[in-house]
Amino acid sequence: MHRVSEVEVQEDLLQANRELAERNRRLLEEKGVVAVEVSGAIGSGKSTLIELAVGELKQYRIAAIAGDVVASLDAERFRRLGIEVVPLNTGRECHLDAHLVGHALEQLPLEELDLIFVENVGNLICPADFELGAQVRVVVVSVTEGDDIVAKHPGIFRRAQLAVINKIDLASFVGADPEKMARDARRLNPELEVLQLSARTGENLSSWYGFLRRVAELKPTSSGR
Amino acid sequence: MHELSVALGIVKAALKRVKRGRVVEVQVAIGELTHINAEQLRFAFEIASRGTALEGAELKTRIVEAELRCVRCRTRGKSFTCGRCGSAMEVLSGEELLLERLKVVEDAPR
Repeated sequence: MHRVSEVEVQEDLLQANRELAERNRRLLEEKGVVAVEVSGAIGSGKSTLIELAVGELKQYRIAAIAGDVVASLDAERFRRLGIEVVPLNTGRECHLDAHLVGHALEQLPLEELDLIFVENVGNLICPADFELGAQVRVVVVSVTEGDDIVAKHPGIFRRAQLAVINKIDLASFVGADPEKMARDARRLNPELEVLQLSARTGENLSSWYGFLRRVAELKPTSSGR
Repeated sequence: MHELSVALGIVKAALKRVKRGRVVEVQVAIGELTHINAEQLRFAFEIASRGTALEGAELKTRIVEAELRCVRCRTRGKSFTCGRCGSAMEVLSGEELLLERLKVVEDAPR
């Protein structure tokens, strides 16, 4: 004889991550640091945009958390710029999560920082399910991914504050319409700011820096340094 | 794509609650807005549950429909932009990944 019983659970398995993300966000606010999560597909230009920003925004104290599946190539790229970098290897995982980022934050001197770039693993799908706790979220797409790339990945644009459409210098070569990409992004998220630029030619990069300066000034305890 | 880590999460959460017997059925609700694929989750669960009290359990899934509400005019809908006033929508449901219940079989004491 055996007995069959039902066990009610009702546990949201994504909730644990959300709570950790909230904890990260509170820690950042407390320390007066703004974290900018940068997500996007492999090769969209995430690392390059971060490198350029670090070079440009000399007035801020910047660090980076670099997510990679295995190697730490991105971390090395950022380190060469003379900033503090925490490499995060996800093992085989396709996204960073709030737990990993929480540990990375422990390794940074938060009191001494203004901005932290958190570069997610190259992927437009999975990071959408896992908030990290960064106050600002940026999604980078490039015209070479095809101009339907935005419409195909609604989730990641919904929670972002900025969408960067990169490599516009290549649009005519690959037959992509960056305006369509911008329209799609705004349709998914009417509050989203959208920038079309080329990290390679430098076209409109000033808007990327402008955006970052604005968010850096939102620092909860910016005391007029 | 992260079905394996989700499957491991299901096994871990279930084992917290089941101390005796074996789990024969697991009911999971997947929000429509998550990026979890039910078929891949079943496959990952098969692997994640091996050697545990959940091995061989049937993973049943249901989809939770997305419901969004306009932050301004409160109109409800499924799109990310309000069909009436064009404002942003907040998510009421569809982002969850709920382990709902387990069916456990225990050998009765003789």
